[in-house]
Amino acid sequence: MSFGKLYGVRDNPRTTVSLVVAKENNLDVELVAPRKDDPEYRKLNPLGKFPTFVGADGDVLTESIAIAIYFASQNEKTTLLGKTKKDYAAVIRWLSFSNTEVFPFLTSWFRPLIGAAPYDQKTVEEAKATALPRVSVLEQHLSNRDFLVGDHLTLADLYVASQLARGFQYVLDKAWRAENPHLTRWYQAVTARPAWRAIIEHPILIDEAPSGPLTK
Amino acid sequence: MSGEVKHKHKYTLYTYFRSSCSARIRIAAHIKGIPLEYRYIHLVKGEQHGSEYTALNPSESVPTLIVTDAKSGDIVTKIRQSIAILEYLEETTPDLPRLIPGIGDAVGRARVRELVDIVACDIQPVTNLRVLRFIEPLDVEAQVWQSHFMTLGFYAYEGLLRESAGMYSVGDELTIADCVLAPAVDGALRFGVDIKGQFPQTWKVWENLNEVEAFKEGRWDNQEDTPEELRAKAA
Repeated sequence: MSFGKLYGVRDNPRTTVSLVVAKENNLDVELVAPRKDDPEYRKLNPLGKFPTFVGADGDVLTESIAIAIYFASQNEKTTLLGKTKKDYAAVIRWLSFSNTEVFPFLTSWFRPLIGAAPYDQKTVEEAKATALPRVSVLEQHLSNRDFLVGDHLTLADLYVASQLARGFQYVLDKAWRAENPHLTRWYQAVTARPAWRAIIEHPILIDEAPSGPLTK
Repeated sequence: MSGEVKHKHKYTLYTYFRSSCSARIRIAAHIKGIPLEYRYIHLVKGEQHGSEYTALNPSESVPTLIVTDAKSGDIVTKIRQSIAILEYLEETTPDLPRLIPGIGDAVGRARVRELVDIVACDIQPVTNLRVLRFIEPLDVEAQVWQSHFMTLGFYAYEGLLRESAGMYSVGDELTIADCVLAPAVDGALRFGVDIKGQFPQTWKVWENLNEVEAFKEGRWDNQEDTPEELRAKAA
């Protein structure tokens, strides 16, 4: 039976995670790709953002963190939300950290380079200088562990990897990866999982970050 | 009569989301309320060089407009240059919102066309993908090249706007000059040209155009073939 409809697109960094969790938990989720400015979609999500979940019961849920947790909690035996209350809180910590501290700055860094936003060298440099120390927090944390929380995969790993995907695709290049081996190893492990590959067949790791706006 | 033309004909546009020349047509068609059926040609993947497309358009560029008879499906005509398409749409449907002043207004027509030509002859041809590909192996930064030629063109556009602009490029009515200008400004911003600081009149017109629904609809960041990461960001 259908669990509901997820509005978004596969490689949207706030959508991928919930599709992977649905895969991990065997939830039958239908992916729907609306136009963000479609007035019908705006009724579900007033800002027209991705993702939005509409359950089989018709109830609407927005915000990527809420949807991901809801999907993860559908399996009573799941360990994706941690095995203890403390671990559960730690999972939320990384979801919040990623969504608030990392993702917005990472996005401001690469969007002007790929032509998604007006290019201004100073703005790009500033976003990069803000994003990198935040990404470093993850590198540090993973320097002596395989997963963000506990000794097993949790939603934190899937969520953070989902939000870092565009970073690895556009700016976290070979040179950067050589200096950040722990985060790189962790990202490759998370994105190699069958449930991940079922959603994103070929995760992209850029060779060399562009120095100015891309011409493609 | 032209309303009949519109329904008698079916319009198919070969387009690429990032192509400013395609955007000109998408915007104009939205203003005039002419429904277009899109066929997507991915320029970066080189689909414009495929034999099927080059048979349609030997320039190996987008856009191409195919006009067919709605009933019989027979091809009425094919047009492979964006300005020719804009003028064809105007001349076949003059009763829909006008985008070029009427035949009696020779001066108004010249005003619109000189603005169109600044973008279509002086800016776009020296800053398009074909040129960027050619200079790639040379010792020139793409951004420096783009910025140089775009700045020259916008300097001229700004100069003419001081004489002609109202809300839009020529007075307060939309014209094909606006359909051509808006995608050019989008392209310039992408390469770091400081339109706002250097060309305030152009910036003002562009901001006004951004408020018009047809311009949002036709814009590069709002097409079916726009990749997700480039899509218009919600407020």
